[in-house]
Amino acid sequence: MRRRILGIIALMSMVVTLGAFAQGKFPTKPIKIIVPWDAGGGTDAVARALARSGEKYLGVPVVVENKPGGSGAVGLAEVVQSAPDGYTLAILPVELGFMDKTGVYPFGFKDFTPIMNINTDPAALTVKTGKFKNVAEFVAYAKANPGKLKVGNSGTGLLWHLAAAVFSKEAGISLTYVPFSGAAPAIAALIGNQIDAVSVSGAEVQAQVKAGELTMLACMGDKRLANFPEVPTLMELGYNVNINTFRGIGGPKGLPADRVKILADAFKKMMEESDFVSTLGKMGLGIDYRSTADYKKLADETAATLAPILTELGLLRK
Amino acid sequence: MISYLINGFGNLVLSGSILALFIGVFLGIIIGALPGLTATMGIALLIPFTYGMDPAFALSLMVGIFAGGIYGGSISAILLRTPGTPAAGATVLDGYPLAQKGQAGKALAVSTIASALGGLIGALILTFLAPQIAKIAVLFGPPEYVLLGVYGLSMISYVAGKSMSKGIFMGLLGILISTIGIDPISGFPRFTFGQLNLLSGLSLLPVLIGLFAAAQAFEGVEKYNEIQSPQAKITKIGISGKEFLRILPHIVKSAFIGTFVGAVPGTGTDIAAFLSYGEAKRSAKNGNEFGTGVIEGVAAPESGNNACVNGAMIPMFTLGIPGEAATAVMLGGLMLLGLQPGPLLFRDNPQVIYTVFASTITSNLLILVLGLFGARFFAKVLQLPAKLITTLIFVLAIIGSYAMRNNTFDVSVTIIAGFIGFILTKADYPVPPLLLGLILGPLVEANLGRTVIISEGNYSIFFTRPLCWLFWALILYTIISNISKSRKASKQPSQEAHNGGKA
Amino acid sequence: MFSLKIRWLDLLIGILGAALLLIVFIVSASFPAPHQAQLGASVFPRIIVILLAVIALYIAFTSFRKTSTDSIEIHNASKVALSFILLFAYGLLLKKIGFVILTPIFITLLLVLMKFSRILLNVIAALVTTGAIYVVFRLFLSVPLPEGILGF
Repeated sequence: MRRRILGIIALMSMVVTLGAFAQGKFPTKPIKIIVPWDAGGGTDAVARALARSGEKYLGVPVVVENKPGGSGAVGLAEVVQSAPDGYTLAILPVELGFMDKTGVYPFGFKDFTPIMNINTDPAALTVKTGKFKNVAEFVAYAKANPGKLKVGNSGTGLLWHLAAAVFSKEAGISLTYVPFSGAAPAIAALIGNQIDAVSVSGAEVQAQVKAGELTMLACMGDKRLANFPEVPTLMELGYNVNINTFRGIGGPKGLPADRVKILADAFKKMMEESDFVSTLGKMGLGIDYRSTADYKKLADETAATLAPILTELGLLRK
Repeated sequence: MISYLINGFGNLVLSGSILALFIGVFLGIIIGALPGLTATMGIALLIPFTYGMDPAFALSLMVGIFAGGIYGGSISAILLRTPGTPAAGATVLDGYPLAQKGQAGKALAVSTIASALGGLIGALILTFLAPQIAKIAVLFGPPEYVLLGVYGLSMISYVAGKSMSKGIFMGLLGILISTIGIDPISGFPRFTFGQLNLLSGLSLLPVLIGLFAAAQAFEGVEKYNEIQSPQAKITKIGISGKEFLRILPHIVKSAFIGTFVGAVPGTGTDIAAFLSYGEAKRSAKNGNEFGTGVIEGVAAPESGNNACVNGAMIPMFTLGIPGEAATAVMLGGLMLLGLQPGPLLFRDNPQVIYTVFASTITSNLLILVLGLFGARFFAKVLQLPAKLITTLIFVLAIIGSYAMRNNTFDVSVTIIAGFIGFILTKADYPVPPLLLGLILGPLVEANLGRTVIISEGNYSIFFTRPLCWLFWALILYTIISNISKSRKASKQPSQEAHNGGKA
Repeated sequence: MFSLKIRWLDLLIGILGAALLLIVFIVSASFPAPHQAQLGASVFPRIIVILLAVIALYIAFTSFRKTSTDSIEIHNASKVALSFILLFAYGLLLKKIGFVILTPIFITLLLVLMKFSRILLNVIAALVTTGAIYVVFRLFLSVPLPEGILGF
């Protein structure tokens, strides 16, 4: 008898929970966005600018939690392991598309549910002012002196390293890559003439280029940078190079489609807030909204472009 | 230029930024004193609040937190053997023994005066020589970084303690541990055994807190039933004129070391503090008493790390490149305020720059006032019963290592490091060389890798660059003076040398 | 009291050095070959571990020849061991259970272990310490502390 009553109670409570589920009441508690990098960086700024208007469009607070370590692996792992209920999300870096193949991430893009893309920034080829006037000079020198030109990047196996490699393959030249611990020390080394060029993003060299210390030879996106309309793209110059970093937002694999839609709709509106637009503008980051489907397509395309480069650089380890 | 600076001071006072600076220094001291909360974190936590603020006001707040935070770390280092920030790791070595001798007041006063004075010298160099220093700093290439690291590692011989071989062993162990994680050159994860938390290696702060603080707390449990002398008797907060003259040369020298270490990108306050400590120990008359609680051993690292704060702002303002982790965060904050850090800032916003320079100078005076005033309150911690202090250190060590990255893995690192440190110190295996190895190992290895790449495998690059010669001279001088000193010491064995506690 | 002759500990260090040498060489054998003019991921750790093993064996050898009877002593070893276990339990459960619940328990147990005072006073001291840390970290500086099951 007692067992039966307990059974009925259990059944009833299940019905009630399922009912709430079916009504699709989401979200009902704060949503957490994990930033897999330190507080104070570019990704952190994007997430925090976005989260500021979270309550307005989702009805619940959106909190940002920094979980740095292992080139993003520690924070992303937490999202992979979390319940796919839409309450734990992360800012997904472009590296998710290939760092599983280089033996750093034990998970890939397939282990996440993409929601939408927030920002894209193209790589750029930048040299010390006066050394090379344009890409043609750079390429000619490299052809005459194979392997002599040293191109700095923000870390081996990260996107800017691969960007330089894609360009060298397309131009038929041989470059030497020098990894630094981040873009800033690479730029410092370029200013001090320790290296010949850097392949980091346009936003990262913006201050030095505007001051005339460095010269941006080309941008590696499909259109010119808003801040540097005089700098050509490599595409215009006849090299088929289109390498952009992108930051998107996503959750663990298996996020229900209705929740993805609720989140995507709200985040889209959050991206249109003037506060968000001005924050990214000040950081020199390009706003680039892409829907869930387009975001997925962008990620797949980038992964396909970069796959052969990984082998060439000896980075393919799985 | 002077007129710009006078304007800067005027603006600092009139715009009310001085209030922001005061709040910043005050908050910074608290954040710095609490283990696990670093100056870098303090600035990062603050940035969302600066949104829409007047740039000079917001920057003063950041400068205050940075300077106050690096100073604040010394307070818990001296009182609880718990370095609040990695920059205070070297301060533990003499600060804690000095406080245990019942001279907590003196130790705090020395650290306050040294921080303020060292910071002031750094701030003046920043204000008047920033562009010139920046030009030298960018000449620093991978080979120079390698030699700087080797020079730093040669300090192991000073902090080895009783047994040189055990000191070298610990130093090498530190370097070996530092190779855990993604290789800076090939990008391949090494010795991680599938553990994601090891991908970026062991973080310095949890190890530091473990080896010093948690180890100390274990000792507290071990000796719980021994009657502990009332360390609480707070001596006068202050030092005599004679003592001031003793530490002054070390403060000045450390300030120059610290400013330069800050000005070259990629080295920070922790390296500045250890280099300053090592150089002071090498050059001081009472060098063999270092580690037993001498004021020079507190003054040097504290002057060095606060000078480094100002040095790190040199490349940030002149080149738009952060000199250190906290300035990297400041740089982001600067951009969010609508300022473009770098060469153009001087041209476009001189009034902001000079207000900031005025802030850096003033921040050191605030450290002096707040530090000396606050010391009597901080030192009250030591009036708590010893057993309560032991539990407090345990809890702060755990919370501190967790708060840094919200990561339980770091907590385990702290506990294990604490237990190992507790056992090994008993057998004369010194902790400081391990820290030096851990801090300088990555600097040496990554830059050696870069040197090989840029020189195309030609090692003569270490002998063909003028700045390299300078470092070779420095390294040779250090070794020779160390040998001649130990010869002198062996001729007249001093009784003091092996007197007193452990480092 | 637990006591161990320093000679034995030094011998242990010697064995550790040799073991590390073996481990580093075995593990680094699978590191990728250097690309372009790189140094190679295994070079630096191998150099360091060779030096480390040499000095560790030197320490073990000289210490054993000296036949010194110096030893390290750990007083109240059982209490130290217990505090280590308590600390580990506290650190690992912190995230699951939460700072506010676990910290008073941990401090009380430690204080009882060290025979600080009567139980009531121990509990009060634990609650006050926890409260003080909570106020400074969470309320004053809004640094997140492990929330656990309570959610704050």
